[in-house]
Amino acid sequence: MKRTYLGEFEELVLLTVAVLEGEAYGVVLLHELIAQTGRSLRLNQVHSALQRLEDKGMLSSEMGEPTAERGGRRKRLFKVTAYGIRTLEEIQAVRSSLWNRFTNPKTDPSL
Amino acid sequence: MSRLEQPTPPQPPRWADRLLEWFCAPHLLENVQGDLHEEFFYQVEKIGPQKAKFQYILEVLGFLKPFAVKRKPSPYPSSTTTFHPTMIRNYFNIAIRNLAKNRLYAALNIFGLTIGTLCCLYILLYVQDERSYDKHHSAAERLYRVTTELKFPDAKDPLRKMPTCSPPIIPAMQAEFPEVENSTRVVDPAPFGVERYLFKVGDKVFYQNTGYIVDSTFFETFDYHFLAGNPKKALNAPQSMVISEALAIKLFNTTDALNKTLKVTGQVEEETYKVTGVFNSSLGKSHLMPDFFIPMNSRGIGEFVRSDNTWSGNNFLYGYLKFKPGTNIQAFEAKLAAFVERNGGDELRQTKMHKKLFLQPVRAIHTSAEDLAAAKGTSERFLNMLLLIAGFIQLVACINFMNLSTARSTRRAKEVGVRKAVGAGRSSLMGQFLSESMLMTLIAVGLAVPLMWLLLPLLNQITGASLSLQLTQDWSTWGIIVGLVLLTGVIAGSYPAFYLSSFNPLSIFRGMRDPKTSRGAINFRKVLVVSQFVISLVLIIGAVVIQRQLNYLLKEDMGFEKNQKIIFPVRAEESRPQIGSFRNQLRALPEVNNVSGMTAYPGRFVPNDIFLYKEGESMNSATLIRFAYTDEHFVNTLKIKLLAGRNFTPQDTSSDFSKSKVMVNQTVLKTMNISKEEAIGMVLRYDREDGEQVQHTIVGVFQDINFERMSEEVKPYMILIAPHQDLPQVVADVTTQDYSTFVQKVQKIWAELFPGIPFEYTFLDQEVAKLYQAEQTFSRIIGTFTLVAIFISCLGLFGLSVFAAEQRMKEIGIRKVLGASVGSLTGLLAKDFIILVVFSICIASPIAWYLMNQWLKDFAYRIEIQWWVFVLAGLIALAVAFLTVSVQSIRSALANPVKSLRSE
Repeated sequence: MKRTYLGEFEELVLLTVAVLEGEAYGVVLLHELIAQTGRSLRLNQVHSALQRLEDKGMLSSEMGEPTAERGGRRKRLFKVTAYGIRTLEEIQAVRSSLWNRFTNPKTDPSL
Repeated sequence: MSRLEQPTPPQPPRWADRLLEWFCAPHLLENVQGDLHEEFFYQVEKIGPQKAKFQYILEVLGFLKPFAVKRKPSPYPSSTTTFHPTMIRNYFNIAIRNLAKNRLYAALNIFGLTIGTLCCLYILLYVQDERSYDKHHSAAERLYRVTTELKFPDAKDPLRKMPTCSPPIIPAMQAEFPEVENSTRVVDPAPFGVERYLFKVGDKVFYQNTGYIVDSTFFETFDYHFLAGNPKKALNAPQSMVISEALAIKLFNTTDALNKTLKVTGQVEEETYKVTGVFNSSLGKSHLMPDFFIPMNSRGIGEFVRSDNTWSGNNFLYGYLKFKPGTNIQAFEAKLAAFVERNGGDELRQTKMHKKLFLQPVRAIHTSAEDLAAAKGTSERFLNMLLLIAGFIQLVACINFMNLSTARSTRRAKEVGVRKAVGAGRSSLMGQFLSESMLMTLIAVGLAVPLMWLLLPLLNQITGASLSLQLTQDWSTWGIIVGLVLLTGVIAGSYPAFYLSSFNPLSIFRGMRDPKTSRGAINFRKVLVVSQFVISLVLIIGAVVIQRQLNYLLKEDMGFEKNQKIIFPVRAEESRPQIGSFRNQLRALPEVNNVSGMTAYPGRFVPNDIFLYKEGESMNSATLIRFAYTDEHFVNTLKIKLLAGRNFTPQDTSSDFSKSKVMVNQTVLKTMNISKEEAIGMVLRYDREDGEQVQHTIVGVFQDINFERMSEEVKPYMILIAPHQDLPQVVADVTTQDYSTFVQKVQKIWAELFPGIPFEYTFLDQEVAKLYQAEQTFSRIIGTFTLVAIFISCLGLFGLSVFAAEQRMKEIGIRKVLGASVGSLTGLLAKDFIILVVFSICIASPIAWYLMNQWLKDFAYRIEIQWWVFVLAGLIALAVAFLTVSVQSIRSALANPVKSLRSE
């Protein structure tokens, strides 16, 4: 299987971007991640993960509209690419197959 | 204005924002900053403004990571043609056209750079020359001189360091240490009063400066270029002599002087010597460059050295060692303590002396004059100071170029814009501007080299050196010149190139200039002008302080009168008996007030010293006192004040040194803790090794006089009385306006009394001034460079003021039409520059104050730096700057406003 491996945090970020459906940008992602995981996170961690994911081709981004609370600055909105979706699905498949074997050991196909 | 009624919402800390803007990559900044601000306002609601601000700072610092700092690579490929020969030719083409178009600026720049380069080049050559001493010996890295450090723990005399050692040390080292390949001892007889030798060849009779007495291995240790004779055997026989080429020509009119004989009177009576070698002194500089060498196995001092076995005292020989290749010098030096103990330990304990030996590389001797008492040569510190000054002067000239190029940048902005629009990369634009500065420097150096060739005699006079410009023989000179061109060109050109090539073509064509960068450039220009004036001002203050200190040293009361004192040295041994009648005839002259004789007059090194202790004490607490012989007229001739007791009378003369009467200076009393009242009649003693006791009875106390440089504290001194024929330095106190007639009269007396002996005389004040030669040279150099630095700074200032006036031509025209006076317009234009100079004064004063205090620390007697020095320097700088600027200001203020306003 040839694909770029994802770190645990990267995977979380990628999944969160996918969940937010085109509305994902730095601050929203930060708050969502904190809410979901309960970890204490900082913006720079989110930004650096987003940049890595974009470099790997799993995310794409475009500049959104400026808002007043950002001092008239535009936000960068992220979307998951097809490759990103596929990667998430592959991870999911591996996990569920393993979970399957863990919960039903007798149905292991290799036996 | 409803917003005004609300309280202003909290804002993120401004400095953190600025920090972020500075480090964050521009393509990420908008998003990152936006997110941070949004988060900040969210946090304000959640945890309050104070905590939110703190969180914001942490968040900003969190972005100090490579991913956020790294800049986006340029989408345009970098130009590979920047250093293509065609491009380089093009750069120079454009540069030449630009110079031709802006003749005034080019001339100002080139003129400044030429003068700067001239000074810089001269100093570099001077320093190179000073550092070239003793590098030509084939074993230069293996040659060392043995130096001595003496300490008398019981006596009240501080540590003494000297470049010399005792007679038996060098032969013992040669015998005991296999590492020593060769060794030689050198004696300079000058400190023993034998400054000149009388040479007689046929009917030629003249005095020649002293030569050195050396071991026969001398020419095996050091390399000298022999024109005739065998260096290895030249000094083997007694009464042989190796002479310099110049002396050979003076004596025999030829350098082929081998085996010729000559009669010499020096340390002993007349002897016949045979020439066994002639060396060329112009090849390879050495700190040992006398006119002739005499072997140690001849009579006089050589005889004494050979028979002397003192390990403690008699430290008057220069000892040199040539080590075998690969010798560890540190390890050798560590062995010396045991070596001294082994050979002279008992003797040193007897004389209560601690002695340490050190090794000094021969290569470093000429430039380490400050360490040891050797007066010849320069010090590394002085050379470094010169290099620093040279660097500063060249920097001032470079700043001119930077300022004038960036000031005129508006005119070239369009050019940069067009070039960028048609595809010039930043690197090729920088290449173009750099080649402009290179071209300028090339022209400047091209002018400076021939100019230096012309001015060399003048410059040599300032530094007291004898440099020559050898462009055909010495390739290192070319190396220096090329290095200077490259360095100057890059320093002068780098900032303008960087600045001019940074213009954004879009904003240039829109007609707007990026206000931030242009304000930054103007500020930077001001900083540069200020630094130019700081350098000039420090130099001005330095020059004034040094000159004042020098005047103080030369004019300050040294405790004796030095004006109108003429010294007639009677050197020849055979003339001694006639000294008495010479003095009597001298005194009979109407111009002469008084005549005295002495072995050493003030201002000269006094070689004699003795340890003495007062009654009730012992040798353990003895004080080292230097002494000279003179007579009962000493005090009156030099107008020295007697503080207690009486002057010498002829009856005090005693042939027995151990029972003589002495007069001491105030410092003797101070050091030995004797009151003025009890001093008279007190006996000072010295216990000789043979058990005898030397007893000196004090008959008088005289005021402290400075026998030596005034950088030294007055030391304990005393004088003894001796018969006239033993006092070779005859000093006359003279009152006359017409010195030449007086000297002619004396010469006549001399010719009758001492037939065949050349007549010599010198003035005491000149002899004293010679003590401060280093300071005088330093003062001249600083003075010259100060003028140069001010001049170059003013060239730059002039260029800037011309530019400012040009820029504000319309403004001036309108102001004039509206009724402004010439005075107010001049003030308007000059004001900006004057503020800069005032600012420079504030910066330069503490720097100069600190530096000059450091310099003055070396002098025991020194001036205080007074406030008016700074005021004076400031006024000079202000006046010069104002004159420079106002020339242009007045011209533009006087111009007819119609001319400037008509054209559009």
